[in-house]
Amino acid sequence: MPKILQRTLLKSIINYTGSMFLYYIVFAITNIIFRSRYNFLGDRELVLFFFILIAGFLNTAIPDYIFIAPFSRKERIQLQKKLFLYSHFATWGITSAFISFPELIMSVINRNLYDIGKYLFEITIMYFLLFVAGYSSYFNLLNKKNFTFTGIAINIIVLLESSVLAAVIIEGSSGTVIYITMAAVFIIAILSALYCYKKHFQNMLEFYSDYETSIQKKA
Amino acid sequence: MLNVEHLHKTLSNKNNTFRLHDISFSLPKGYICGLIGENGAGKSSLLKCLAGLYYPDSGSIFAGGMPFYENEAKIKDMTGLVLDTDFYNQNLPLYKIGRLYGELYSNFSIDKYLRYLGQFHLDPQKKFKHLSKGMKTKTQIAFALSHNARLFLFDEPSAGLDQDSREELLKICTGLVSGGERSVLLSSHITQDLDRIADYIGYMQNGSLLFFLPKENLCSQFSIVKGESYKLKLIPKEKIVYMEEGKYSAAAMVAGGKKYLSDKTLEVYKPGIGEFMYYFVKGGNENAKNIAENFIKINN
Repeated sequence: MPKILQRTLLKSIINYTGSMFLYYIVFAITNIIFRSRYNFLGDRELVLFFFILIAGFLNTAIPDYIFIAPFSRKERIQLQKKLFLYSHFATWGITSAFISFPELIMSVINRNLYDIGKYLFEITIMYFLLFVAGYSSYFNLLNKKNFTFTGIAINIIVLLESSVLAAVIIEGSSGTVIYITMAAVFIIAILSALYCYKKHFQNMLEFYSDYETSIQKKA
Repeated sequence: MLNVEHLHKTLSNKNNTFRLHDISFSLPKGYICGLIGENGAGKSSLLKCLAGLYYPDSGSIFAGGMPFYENEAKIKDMTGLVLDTDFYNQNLPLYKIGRLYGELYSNFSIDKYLRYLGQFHLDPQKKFKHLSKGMKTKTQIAFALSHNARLFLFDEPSAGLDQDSREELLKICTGLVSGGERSVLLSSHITQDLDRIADYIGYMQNGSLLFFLPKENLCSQFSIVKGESYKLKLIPKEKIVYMEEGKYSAAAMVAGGKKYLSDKTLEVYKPGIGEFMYYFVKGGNENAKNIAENFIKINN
């Protein structure tokens, strides 16, 4: 991977982490102020929901110079693929490390199997949701209407999943309800990720690897 | 070095559609070609096609004997570019631009790059975004000259450059082709520069290349005639590219031989590229097309 691409990836990770911390501070302050009045959503899931939204705004397009650099179209597509997947993997790793890993480690130390399962589930779900969120900027460039529709759809899915998880896991429900809800959320997350991968992944790579489409749409 | 055959390309955005139409030319090794034409004639779009940024709808491009799209990476490696768009990361200092982007090329020399920056009086520590337009162009030129390119595509390289830098650029261009192995294709509005260094001239109008031929051959096919208006009006209209009439006298650019210009009282001389372009543009698109089709002999 050329250094210029490594820089783009690093910049994207720094932006994401910075935004996460910023949001977390704002969230913590507002939570202290309004906690007594608004507690409709579990804290963790609300944080997760916004982190996924932030990930959707990250730039995962190859730098402009790659268009004039000595690469063929095929090589540009490969570079774009690497950048998108590494960026997704990095955001997933950072979000997991920030939200789920500490609790997961505590659960392992306490040997609480239920909690271990819960946090592993959360990490898995996050993988798919972040993958779907990664398409936001592409949809935005491609077609404003498409972005609005897909963007709203993604947000509804994430919000529903977050609130359902919060209601079921945090607030406490019977075992069967929890497992059915988790299964439903899991299936929806996988289906939305599969939809994006099957229908848009290759198109997105080609879109970003072509100067005419990507640069002109950006302009 | 560079062959373009029947290139067609339609570029469209929200507001308009622009077409590059049936462009063919051949630039041999060791020559400089100046691409001229009005704003919006399609010079930059053509250069972007040749740089691999736009994919033609039909037609073919060969560089260094290789078909472009089958050898895109190789051809880009041997092409030095100066374009009207900034492709560098604006936040990088100039020395880092050399380090980061240079590693993408097989023959990039950072020492050469830094030497050119010094020659152009550019501070390697300065960030790209803090440079003026002329300095940004100089950075692109320095980079293009540092990876042992054999084909140079320069889009308005002298725009924004001061007189000294323009002189330096002209020297560099002539130096590049002096070995007979490299070629330069540059678009420019500063026709005096092309008068001095161009071996070939390509004239673009509304997305078409009206002609592409050696400068001497082109200029010798036209004459600027100055004299009394009524005498100039005796010249057949279809031969006049454009006539500018004053109160008592007139000046015109005339195509074809000199058989109509035997009157000794008329001042007759060969036009330079600047005058040629002035009269060609003033004459209007339709007239320019007719003149190009009927009178310009393509005889490379």
